Amino acid sequence: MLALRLQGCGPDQGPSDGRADVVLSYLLQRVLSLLFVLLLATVGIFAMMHSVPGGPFAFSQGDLTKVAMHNIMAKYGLTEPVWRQYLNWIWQLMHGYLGIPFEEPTMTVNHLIATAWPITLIIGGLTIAVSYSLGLLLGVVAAIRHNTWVDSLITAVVSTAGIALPNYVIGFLLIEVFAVKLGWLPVGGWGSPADVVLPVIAFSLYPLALMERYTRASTLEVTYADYVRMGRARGLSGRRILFNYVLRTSLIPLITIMGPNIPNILTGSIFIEATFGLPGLGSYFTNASLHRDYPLIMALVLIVAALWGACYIISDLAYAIVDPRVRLEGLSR
Amino acid sequence: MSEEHPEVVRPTGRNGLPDMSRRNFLAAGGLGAAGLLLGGRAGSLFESHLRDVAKARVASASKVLGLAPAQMQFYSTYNNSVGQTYKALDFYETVYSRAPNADLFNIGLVRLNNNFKLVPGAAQSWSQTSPTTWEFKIRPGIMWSDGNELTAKDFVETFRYSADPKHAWDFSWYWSGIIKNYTEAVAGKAPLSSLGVGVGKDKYTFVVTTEAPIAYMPNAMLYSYPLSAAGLAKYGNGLYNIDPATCITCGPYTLRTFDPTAHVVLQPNRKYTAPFKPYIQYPIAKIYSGTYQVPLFETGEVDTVQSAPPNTQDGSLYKSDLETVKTMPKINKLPVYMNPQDFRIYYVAFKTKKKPFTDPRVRQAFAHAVNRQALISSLLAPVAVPAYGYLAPGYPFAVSKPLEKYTNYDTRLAQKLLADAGYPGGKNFPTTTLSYPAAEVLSSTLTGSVVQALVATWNAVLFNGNPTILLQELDNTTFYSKMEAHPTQLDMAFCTYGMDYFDASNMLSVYKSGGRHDWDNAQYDNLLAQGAAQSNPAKRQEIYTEAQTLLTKDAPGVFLWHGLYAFLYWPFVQGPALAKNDLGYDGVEWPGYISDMPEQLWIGSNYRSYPRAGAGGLI
Amino acid sequence: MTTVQVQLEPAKRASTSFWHAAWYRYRRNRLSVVAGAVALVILVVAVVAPWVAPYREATIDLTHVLARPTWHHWLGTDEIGRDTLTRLIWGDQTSMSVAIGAPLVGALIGLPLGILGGWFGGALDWVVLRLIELFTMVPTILAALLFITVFGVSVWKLALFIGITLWVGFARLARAQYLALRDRDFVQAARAGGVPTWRIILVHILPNAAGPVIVYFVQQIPYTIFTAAGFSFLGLGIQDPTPDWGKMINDAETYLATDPLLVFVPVVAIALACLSFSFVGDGLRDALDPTSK
Repeated sequence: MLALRLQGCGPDQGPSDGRADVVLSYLLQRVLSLLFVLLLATVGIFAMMHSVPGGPFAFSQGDLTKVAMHNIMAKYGLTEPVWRQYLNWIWQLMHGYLGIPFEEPTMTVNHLIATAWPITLIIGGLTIAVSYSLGLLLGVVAAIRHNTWVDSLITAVVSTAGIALPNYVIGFLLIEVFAVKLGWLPVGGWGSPADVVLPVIAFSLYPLALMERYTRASTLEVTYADYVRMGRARGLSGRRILFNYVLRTSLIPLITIMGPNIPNILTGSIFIEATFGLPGLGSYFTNASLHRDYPLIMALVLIVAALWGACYIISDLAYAIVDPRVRLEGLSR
Repeated sequence: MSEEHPEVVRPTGRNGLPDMSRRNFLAAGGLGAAGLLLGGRAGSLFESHLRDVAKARVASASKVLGLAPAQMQFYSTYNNSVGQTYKALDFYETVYSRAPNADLFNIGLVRLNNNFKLVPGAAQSWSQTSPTTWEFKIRPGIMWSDGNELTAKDFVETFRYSADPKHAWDFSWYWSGIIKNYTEAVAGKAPLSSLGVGVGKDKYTFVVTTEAPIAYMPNAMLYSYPLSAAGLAKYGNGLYNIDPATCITCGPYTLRTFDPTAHVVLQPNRKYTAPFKPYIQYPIAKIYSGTYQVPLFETGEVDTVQSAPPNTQDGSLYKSDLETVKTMPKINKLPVYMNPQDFRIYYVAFKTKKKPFTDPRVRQAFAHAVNRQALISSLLAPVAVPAYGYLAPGYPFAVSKPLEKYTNYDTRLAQKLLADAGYPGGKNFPTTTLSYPAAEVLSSTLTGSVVQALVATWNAVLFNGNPTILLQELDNTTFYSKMEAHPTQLDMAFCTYGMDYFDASNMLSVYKSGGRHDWDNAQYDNLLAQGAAQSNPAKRQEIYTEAQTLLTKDAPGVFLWHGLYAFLYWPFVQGPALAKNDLGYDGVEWPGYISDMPEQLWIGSNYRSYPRAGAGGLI
Repeated sequence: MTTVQVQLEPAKRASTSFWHAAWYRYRRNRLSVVAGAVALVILVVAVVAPWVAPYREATIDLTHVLARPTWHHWLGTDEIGRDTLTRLIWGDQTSMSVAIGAPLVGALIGLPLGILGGWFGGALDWVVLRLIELFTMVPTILAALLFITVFGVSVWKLALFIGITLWVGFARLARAQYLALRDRDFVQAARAGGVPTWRIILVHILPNAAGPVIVYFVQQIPYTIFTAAGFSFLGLGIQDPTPDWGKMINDAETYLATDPLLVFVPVVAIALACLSFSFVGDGLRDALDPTSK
């Protein structure tokens, strides 16, 4: 388990415990507990997906006779009892094989993910880079100009464009203007570098707005903290206070809130993909469940688990690096 | 362009696949495209073909600019992979999930022309040699690309493969009850060798034995795309055709690229020997996991866009899209082509085994309480026509006028019928839910609008404005598994059906006892059996008229409208395939590539005057 | 570096004067006051929707579809001839019920769990963390399919369901805040002074932790509106003909090029709601932070 402990309170005390064995034992515990949770989750999710009405072929294959349906179910091993199907899945998993997606039975799940995810990762990675840096910048500006027209303008524009407009409407407008009217960029599809521009813009607006909002809030939170005041009293320059004290500390709530958005972004959005015709992974997160594609559902659970596990661990480590008051403690309590 | 319309160069183009809904097995493979051309000496053959065309068809039209050069004879179509998956390139591998441009690989026994008349395909002729036996004479000299000749054995092996329980073919219901022992073989209760398919007196004679007399067998054989017997023997299944290195084709094309999330590209088969010669050299199916096809058309990424009626979930052009097109200066002058494709019916099915829908008067009341014309003109026009009966006008043996008296908009009659059934003014009528399937994400939400209007009308006309009929949208899988459960779990379901083959026996079989819906009527079943066996068209018409009257009058469902599909083509897409047919419909008709359309569609040399993105690196 | 006076400050906050001071600080922020008024109007309209809507909610008119604004229909009509203003007003009720209900549910579940984990640490914290991880892994759509199968759909059930998916965020946030605050000087001082634990958790720490929580809560409002709209796309959302702002955008998106007003109206409504709640949130954050100017 993670223990975060506060060490004194002075900003001058950096992350003290960088000892490798502490970090290692911390990592080991986290990974073990994650595996434990994952085991629980897969059992639960396996049971859930078999209790939802409608089988994987109820829709996509038209009106099937009972016998034909039975043949198809047998072909994919779905006529066995659910517990055995689960064990089969675990067995395959231990061999690194995730099964055949009903959606694309000429591929394996492994292959499907290897094909689709890189696209999502490129779009998502760029989105994170663009939205987090720009959002951070705007948030700090808004906080520095707290309660002035600059602050209100940033809030109004960012909230409206990023939060109140759904990204498929933004996507539609971007396509109309930049692809159709101006002809600068492709309408959609995947292949050339230009294909990433519009999806990244459309996808960035919401995280950008969130980042701006939280940066502003947590920067304000810290601006008036005692040790910052002390710094001021000691006569430190405004810029030095901003970067050394305020920003560092205000990153903590940002890590808590914006960290979990990273897995969300890296798993893509069905709306962005549908709007721009991207063959990414995001739509499968929706469609696998809608189409009862059992092997794919389970594989996506694994991806989510891995991403979130990494995200939680990294954000814990990030606390220790960023926050002058926190250090990692490897003890399991 | 056809001689009858010499005045303009009409845009042509078969739209690659009108990918209809998954409910329609045509969907994936589609309607596509065309087969093609090119024979062994591709270049020269193509050129002589061009000359023929110039002389025979186009010479008279002075505005025709000629054909585009071979490298520009590619034809890009839009295909949507949202809610759709493309698994294979052969009909007998998978029907619902075959990729765009499937059906161009091989040559089926028969094909249709754009008036839906059967024309020879791989079979030169066919005949019914006994009430339960049909013989198809295969054209000698059609060669597979692996050097073997196409013979009856290929068809026999293909049909056996389709019935193999281990293959679990998704379309096996199609031949069940028709080909002898098919049902048993699919159930694993009869060996594949006992199937009613075989080789006749010579290797070119394919013999089919049926369970009962079947008059429409040649029509049903529209779907007889063979796999290669040698390929099946060597690879064990039909998936050898999704790899350019192993693909075996007897059609005008061979596989260039199969990437089911991006594109499927075909190229000329240099070893092609059959006489059907398409113009298009490279059918390119561009696959997008998205639905905005109009901008792709407007910027020249694809050569055509198509529309479909609602609920087909393919990102088509609806009324609203056609209105949108009118605001786009680059494309608003293009003619809009329209045809019914698969003669789709949209209807609301009742659970007739549950009160209050056990009473036909209640069902009739609902049928009379819909103003179809108003619904269509406000929401659907021009891509729909009102349905007073089950079969669409123009579909074989369809009657319409005589059925109107059972379904016309008559609020008084509707209220009276409901009162007679014991619910005067809708009083005591139980609250009932009408369920409908959700569209794929970002597809049209039109279905929702239509059913809201429908339910509002019923509540107003039949129930004094009390919200007695409620709405429930369900995700597709849940909707279809509940609707198709026996007994059905939906009291009222908004659904749709499109034909599989061009004969009344197909569409009408949906209401057979034990079929899709819970309505059972021995007289109706009997009429369908008589119709299937009857080969005299006049007598068949009588039988099917009676069946339709019975169906409409007893109203197990409220038939609402028949869908039309709208198409836009850039003007460089040309050919007689786009001209009006005998029913007055134009644009590429169903069944697309399974017709003679490939020989009637080409890219004109005027492509230079229009935005055309080019084939990129695809060819 | 902290003085005795600073340590004792939280004790003062517990008194009513803290709330007086907060209210005073809130009132000084003119933007927050205006935003508060707008938010109040939105909420009041949601409550009185049945009495202020000009037409009945389900009235359709196929002879006046997609009409431009007129005296009869101030904001025009939709694709089946329903009055857009009426839909907007009724949609306010639906959207606000879900948009405020769901984060409330999320906060009610998530905050206590996060606070307990963060404050007590140890086994309790371990369990909370594992619960968070477990819930993160469950695919939302799958859970929604199951939930709807078992319970059906209604506005309140949707709010409940989305709320359940939101608790994780609240729990993480509260946990992080309490972890960060529990060893601060003023807390140590209160402990040393014999203040009961529940009082420290609720009275001493909560106001300090409230800022990020309020901002987070406010951000969940638009998120929830669009999550509900997303569910509508999949047939898992609020059932027609009940209007809802997000769904109004979904439905109107088809007509964006020809009748942009249909999209414009709900977008403006959502933007107004988001902005007003955002500014109220900012104001509250400042007001509750006694150290801000």
